Amino acid sequence: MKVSLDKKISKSFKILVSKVVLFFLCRGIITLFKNDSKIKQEIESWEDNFIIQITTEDTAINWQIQKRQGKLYRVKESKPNLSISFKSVDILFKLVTGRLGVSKAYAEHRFLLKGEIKDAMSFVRVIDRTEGYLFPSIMTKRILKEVPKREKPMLEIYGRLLLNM
Amino acid sequence: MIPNYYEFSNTTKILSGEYALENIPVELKALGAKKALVLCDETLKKIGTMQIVLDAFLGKGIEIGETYTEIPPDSSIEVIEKIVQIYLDKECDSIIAIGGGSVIDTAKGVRMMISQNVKNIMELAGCEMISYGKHIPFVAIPTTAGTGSEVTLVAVILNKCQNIKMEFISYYLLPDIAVLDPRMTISLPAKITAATGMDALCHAIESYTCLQKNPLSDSYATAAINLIRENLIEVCKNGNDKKRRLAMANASLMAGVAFSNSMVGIIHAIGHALGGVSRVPHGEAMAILMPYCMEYNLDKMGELYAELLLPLAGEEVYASTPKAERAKKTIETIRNMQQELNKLTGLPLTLSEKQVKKEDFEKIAKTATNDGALIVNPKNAEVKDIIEILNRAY
Repeated sequence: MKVSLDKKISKSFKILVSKVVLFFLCRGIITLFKNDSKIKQEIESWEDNFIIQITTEDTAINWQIQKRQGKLYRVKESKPNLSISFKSVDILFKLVTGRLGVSKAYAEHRFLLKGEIKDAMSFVRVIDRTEGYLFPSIMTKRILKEVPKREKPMLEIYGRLLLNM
Repeated sequence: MIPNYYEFSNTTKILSGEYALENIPVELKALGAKKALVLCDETLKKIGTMQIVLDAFLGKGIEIGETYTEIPPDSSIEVIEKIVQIYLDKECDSIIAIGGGSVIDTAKGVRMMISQNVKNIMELAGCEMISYGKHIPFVAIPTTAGTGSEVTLVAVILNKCQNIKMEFISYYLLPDIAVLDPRMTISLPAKITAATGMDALCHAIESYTCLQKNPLSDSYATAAINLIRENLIEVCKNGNDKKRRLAMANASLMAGVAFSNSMVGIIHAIGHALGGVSRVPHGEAMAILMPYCMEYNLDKMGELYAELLLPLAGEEVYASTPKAERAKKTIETIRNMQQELNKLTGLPLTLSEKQVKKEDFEKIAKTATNDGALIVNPKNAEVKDIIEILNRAY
């Protein structure tokens, strides 16, 4: 027996969507680093050259972000200080499409974590807050413990994100 | 309600009751061990608890390679690295840990380093990252009834450089054998019995209410609470009651299985920080913080707290309390329990009794927000919320 074609197509689709959303998530974090005081404060607590990775166990996805000289950059193929590795792309897909929060994914043992838990906690707060800007309240109410109060309008953040400001 | 998805594991074999210690050599032999490294602390050595365990090995074909007893109250990376070297020098092939959470967590750290063959334990920091590795037979013998460390997948190890307690989480940290023998807790002073018992209660309550809760962990948690209700105060009145000692050891173990699979929340997040920053003993921190943190969580977890009134107060109190008032009654029952334990044993009720400095609150709160336990607490907590809890508990 081989893996069915349906599963192959579904997996490819989920990988593609996850990559696209993670691209915008990265842009979102970089934008909010400049525009949200809480995210700024959180990221400032990270050490310089700190690299965070989101990946999947089959390595189909390798998303990395680095803090370097007070700025954030998307990087590739670096050695991460903190790695969140999802056991399956199906769950990452649920996460990036706003149907599962990071806390719940952790509670369900959906990912492996390499690195210090205190760093992961800080990153989770950044993700939760970023989702609060990028996803509509109807979604965040379902996946976040508390919907964060936006410091700037969602549309302004989307505008800055698209223009990479 | 059945969760959307959950995982549950408890691979530890449990030996509970009379002459349980005497069965350890047979179990070790079955695991292929010949020469054991025994870890303990100085106090347990002095009062003869360690000797009782060593005597159980008489003529059973398992050699004691070495005993190491200089384990401090907070297990640290330095101590673990030192013991790893002793294990290798003495060519031991198994580990026996006799003690409370600190000794057992130290043993987990030692086993993890040898099993994974690493020079720096920080390489293994994280959650579920390590693989099975080389099997090192490991027996845990708790001498307190509270931490549940003998059946948990967590090791809490102090990082002295950063002054924080690090968590290592992996199913492969679970001991092979947990031994509950009433001789191991019989000499425990009343105040420590009370504090560790409240720690076990806290494990059960948090595991029943956190995001990872599941039907199996729930059943362990409620069974533990029943045993604590029936035995904790009584065993503080009469520490020589072996049946109640064993019941409390079982309660602690069951609460340990529960929280190993559903984790703990805000009470532990703040408690770990209080331990790291202000050196408040873990059990006492749990006892002090429990009602205040439960009040903080009440709006999100009222229904679950209400359910816990049944095992915590018994069916008569549960039935006579209106449904809407049960959650608050649960917290009130815990406060009454604390008051009674305070009268009986001197268990502290406030942070001021433990000389915690108010100027440290910010540091404690910041440390707590970075504790992994906070992620599974159903209610979000920021620094200001934790400072408010600390002020109320002062």
